[in-house]
This record gives sequence, structure tokens and C-alpha cells, in this order.
Amino acid sequence: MAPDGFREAYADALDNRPRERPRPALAALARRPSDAGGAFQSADPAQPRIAGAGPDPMKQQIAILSDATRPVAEREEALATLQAAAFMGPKFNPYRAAYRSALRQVAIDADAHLRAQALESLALDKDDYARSLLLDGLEGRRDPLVPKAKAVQLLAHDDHGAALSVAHRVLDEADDPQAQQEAVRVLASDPGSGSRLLGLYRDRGATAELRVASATALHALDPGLFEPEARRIVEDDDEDPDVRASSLGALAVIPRYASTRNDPAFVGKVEEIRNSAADGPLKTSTDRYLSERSE
Amino acid sequence: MKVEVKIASVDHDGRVYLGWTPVEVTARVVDGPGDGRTVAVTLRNAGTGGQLDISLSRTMQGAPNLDVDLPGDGSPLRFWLAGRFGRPSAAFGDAVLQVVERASGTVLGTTPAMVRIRKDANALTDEERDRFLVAFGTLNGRGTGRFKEFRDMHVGGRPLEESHGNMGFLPWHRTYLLDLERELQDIDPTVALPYWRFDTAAPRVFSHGFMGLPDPNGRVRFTPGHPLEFWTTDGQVGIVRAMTNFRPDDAPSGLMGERDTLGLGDDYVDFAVMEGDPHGLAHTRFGGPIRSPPTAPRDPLFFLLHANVDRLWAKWQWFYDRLGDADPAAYASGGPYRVGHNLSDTMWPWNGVTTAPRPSTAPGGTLAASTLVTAPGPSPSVRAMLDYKGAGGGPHQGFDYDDVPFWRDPAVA
Repeated sequence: MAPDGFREAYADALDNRPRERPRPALAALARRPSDAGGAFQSADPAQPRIAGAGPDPMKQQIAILSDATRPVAEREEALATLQAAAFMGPKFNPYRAAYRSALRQVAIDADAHLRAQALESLALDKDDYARSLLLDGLEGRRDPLVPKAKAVQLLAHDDHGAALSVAHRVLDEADDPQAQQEAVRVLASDPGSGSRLLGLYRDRGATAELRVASATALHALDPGLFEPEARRIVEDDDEDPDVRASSLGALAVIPRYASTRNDPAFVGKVEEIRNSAADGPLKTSTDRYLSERSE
Repeated sequence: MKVEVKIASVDHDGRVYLGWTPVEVTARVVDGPGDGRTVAVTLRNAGTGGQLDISLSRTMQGAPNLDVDLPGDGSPLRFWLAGRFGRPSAAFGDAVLQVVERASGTVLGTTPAMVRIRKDANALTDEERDRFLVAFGTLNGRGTGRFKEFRDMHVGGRPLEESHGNMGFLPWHRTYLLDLERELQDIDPTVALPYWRFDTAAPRVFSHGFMGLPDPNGRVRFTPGHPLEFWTTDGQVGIVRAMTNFRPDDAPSGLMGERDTLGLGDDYVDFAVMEGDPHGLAHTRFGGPIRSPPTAPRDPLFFLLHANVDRLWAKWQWFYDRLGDADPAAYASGGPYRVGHNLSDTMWPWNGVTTAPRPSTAPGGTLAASTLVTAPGPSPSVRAMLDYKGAGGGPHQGFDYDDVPFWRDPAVA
């Protein structure tokens, strides 16, 4: 379509329907000068006033979030609004302390979904209280607030090292496949876990998901350990095809492993796999590996 | 006899990449009839994919064919070449400029090209998608090196004040995306950053073959061998992104759509309200790191989300003619604002400034260079990021969106 015609059509589309307004609390915060302190600035007068707890929409959102008598859907939207507001950086600063307090309160809420979101927000911020709640749940000192796998995943954000001992124990217990997959990813930051990750990557008795999760952790931790095992798995026609596909995919894309293309025997094997494999992830990985080589 | 064509928009290998903005081209006869004579030729759009428009002036009204007379002594003739709006390439070489002698029909020159455009991620071909994913997975590597620098530009504290909660939010992120895109193009020059249009359903984006789908714990799963399967950031492997608000075949709910975002108003100060809604709300339609400002770029979807934010700004600029920085409505005319957010300010980290109130480190160095264009330069100002198209007559920055056409300031000759 010619640009002029496009403009006319676009203008028609903009004018033809009643207009939605931005979420009032966010619009009000966005219009607030960044360097303002103290009293809240007036919102756009075209926006409807929110009934309830005073003229500051952000404070009202915090109140809604904290109020366990409100419908969960309303509280979740308040949380989403507050998290969206947090993207406005310094404009949100006056509310951060109250927001964090509300999150800590909601982290032990009766609603599982809401408390999981609150715990995640706190964990991403490396909050000590959230870490202690998660550890207490994993170690039996309180009822778990989130499933084991989620707790391990959230603890991984913490850089105090609490997650490492938990991860090893979860792997030893071996009673929760999802938790195990989260646990191996935690070991990506443990210099002492190379051998364990390599063993899991090699273990044909483990699920493909666990083996690939181990592979990703091993790649991040020690590419020198990952690469030869990845090559061995690719070359073994008796290996799980998905694990082979994932291993070859890493060798194809990640620059650290580009030197594998200097080995004619390995490249020849990949060509052989391409010629014999049925359409699917493994064949796609061979195509990708060989096409990168030919450029 | 042949015709040599030189196009001022080539990569390291001399391959031609175009957007909607016309670029200058010269054509000259080689081994021609000599001084005093001319060669009548047709400059012709001959590709079957990306389409080209040709004109003698820098205009948005080019045509697929242009008859010209080239000097027989080899003197160059100048003309302008652009991708035809609405007809981008899917791969390099599907756009072609031919020079044909009118009398004989002989092809005297052929130049393959690509009309390289930032597209709706949900509309990419499988090949376009995979080229982008491979480039992105390659850039990520082990989450160290250059990718880590992108990660470190968008963390909490003072870095966040450089880029959020103030008037420079949009130009800063435009620069950030351009920096990343140029690194992707250094890996594969056919790649352009796609955008996730967050007000419409995007089932192809939220699939195992593209941005992945979450398990019950929000852990993103991919097809085995997927280029992002080994994604690593901050020493952590994998991606966590729960879909808390919508299903893959739906659009997220509760945030403003495009029409209403552009309807915020024709002054930048009114439009900038979009930082909260829809931008902030788009982030919070998920669980996981993308939901929090200091951790959001750990998720590759962050860059597609922000490409759409930038596209909305670009569309607003086009619709309201707000490219020129002399226009008080094109940018925030109040102020002064915090350093880094005023028109004349250069932006951290590309300016390398590490004295207060700027952050104490400046990861990544200057803005990645492009072989195609010189703008916006290694340390761009806020002002430099407004007229990314060069509509005011200056240089363009080498990117365009599929639904935002080139237009020229009528005041520019």
C-alpha cells in the first residue's frame, strides 16, 4: 500500500471507536515529575478517580494488594500495576518500602498463586525474608509456601549460596523430577559440581529433560567438560535422539564450540546423521550445524 | 559494455541492505560509447521478494522502473533507491536492482539486495525466525562477553535512572535495541530485531519453536536443539517466564492497545505516559525475571517487547510528524530533566561517563558501529535518536518497522 493511502487508513482506524485510557494509577505516576517529592501530583483530570483509600493511586494499589478480604483477581491486578509502576524507576522510589512490606505480607498469603508471585518478586530482589521462608519450607521448618521445584528455582536467585546445599539434597532425594531439573540448573554456579553434572548428563537411565538440564548447567560451568561429552553423545547412534539434538544444537550455535567443525571425522558423522535421520529435531540440528560450517 | 552501480548501504562483504529510507546510488557506464553520447537504460526493480522503489530525488514516491540516460563517458548518474513500503525481503537477494539497455533489452548490471526490516515476530517465516534465534543464541554464548554487557546496562540503582522514569525512556531504549541489533547483524547481517506485538495474539511467538512455552513452574521449554536452549545470564541457565495473564493463542489482557496508545496525545509528554501502560503492564503479563526492571533483560523476550515499544513510538512519530527535534511537541519541552534525559545530553553507557550522578561503570563501550550507516554515532545524544529515519534530510540509522513508512519533511528539498 502506498504510504499516503496507509496514513489515511490508519487515521480512520484511530478515529472510529471510543478510546480506552491508560490505567489511572500508572498514568498518574507517569505524569509525576521524577524529581518531585512529598505531595502526590494530580492525575490527568480526564481519568476517573478511584474510590477508596485516599488520593494517591499507588498507595491505594498497595492497600488493595495487602487486603486479604479483597478478591484475589483484584489483588493480582494491583500487584501487576505495582510491578509495572516499578519500571518507572525513580518515580516509584517513594513507594518501594511500603511495596516491599506488602510483598512480604503477601508471601505468606492464603492464596497460593498470589504468594508465589510475591515470593518471586522478593526472591528476584534477593530479599532475606523470602530466602528464609523458602528454606524453612524446603527443610521442614514450616509448611512449604510453593512447590519444591519452584522453591529451588527461586532460591537460585540468591547469591548467599543457600541454594547449593539444597540443590544437592534435592538431587539425592530424587523424588521430584521437576525439582531435580531445577536443582541441576542451580549447580551451574558450583565449581565443585562438574563431575556430578557430567554424570547426570551421561546417565541413560535419567529422563531426557534431566539430562539436557544437566548439559545446560555443565556448559555454563565448564565448557571443557561439556564439549567432549556432547560430541560423544552426538556420535552415538544408540543415544536418546532428543539429547543428541540438544547437544548438537549447542555445538552448532555457541561460538565456544566452533572448533568442532575443524574435526573432519566429527563433521562426517554429523553428515551421516543428517542423511539417515527422519525429519525432526535431530535432523534440524544437523542442518543447522552443517549450514553454519558452509558459510 | 556494462553498468556499475554503487549503493551507499553495504555490509562488510559488499552486500546491499535497504530499508524504507531512500539511499543514494550512482550508476555509470563501463566500456561505454564515449564522450558526448549517452546510453538509454531502465533502472528496474526485478526481485521476486523484497521490492524496490527508484527515484531521482529523495522521496517516498519512488517507482519500480525509471528510465534514464547514462553518460557514455562513464560519468556517474545519481539517483535514490529504497525498499517499497509493505514489501520487505524474507532473505538476502530476493530484492534485485537491474539496469537494462532500453534499445536491446540487454541486462547491463544486476545488484542483489535485501530490504531488511523489523517485522512482527508472529509473522516471520520459519527461516527468518531461525536466523534470528541462531544469531541471538550465538550472541548469548555463555552469557559472558558482549551479551553480559547488554545485561549490565539494565540493572537496578543508577543504571535504571538513566533509562526509566523520565523523559529519556524511549530514546534510551531505542539506542539499546539498536546496539543489540547491530551485534546480531555482525553475526548474521540478514537479521533484524523482530517485535512482539503485545496487544494481539501471537501463538507463533509463544511456541516451543520460537520463544518457548512454560512448564507449571514457569521454566521455558523449547524444541530439542533450539538455539536458545542453552541460554545463560547472570550465571543462571535457562529462562523462567510463566504466562500469568494469557494463553499462547490469546492476547494479554488489561493493557492499552496500539490505537489507544497512539491516542494518548500528539505531544511527547502525553505519549510518554505509555511507559506505565502499556509498557510496564506488558512486562507484568508474565512471571519470572521479565517482570522486574533489574532482571528483565535476562529473558530474550525482553528485546522483542521493547522493539514493540519502540515501534509504537516510531508510529506515533510518523503519524503526528514528530521527528524534528525543533518541534517542541516531538520531545519533552519542559525541564531541565535529570542528566541523560535532556535533548542535548549524551546517554549512558555509550558516552562512557562514570561520574555522579551517572553510574560508576559504563559497560559495553560506545554504540556498535554499522557498515551501512554512520548515524547516530558512537555516543548518541537524546536528540540524535528522534529522527532515526533521516526524514529531516540527515543520515538514517539503518532500521525500519514493517508498518511505519518513510516520509520526508516537506520543508526539506
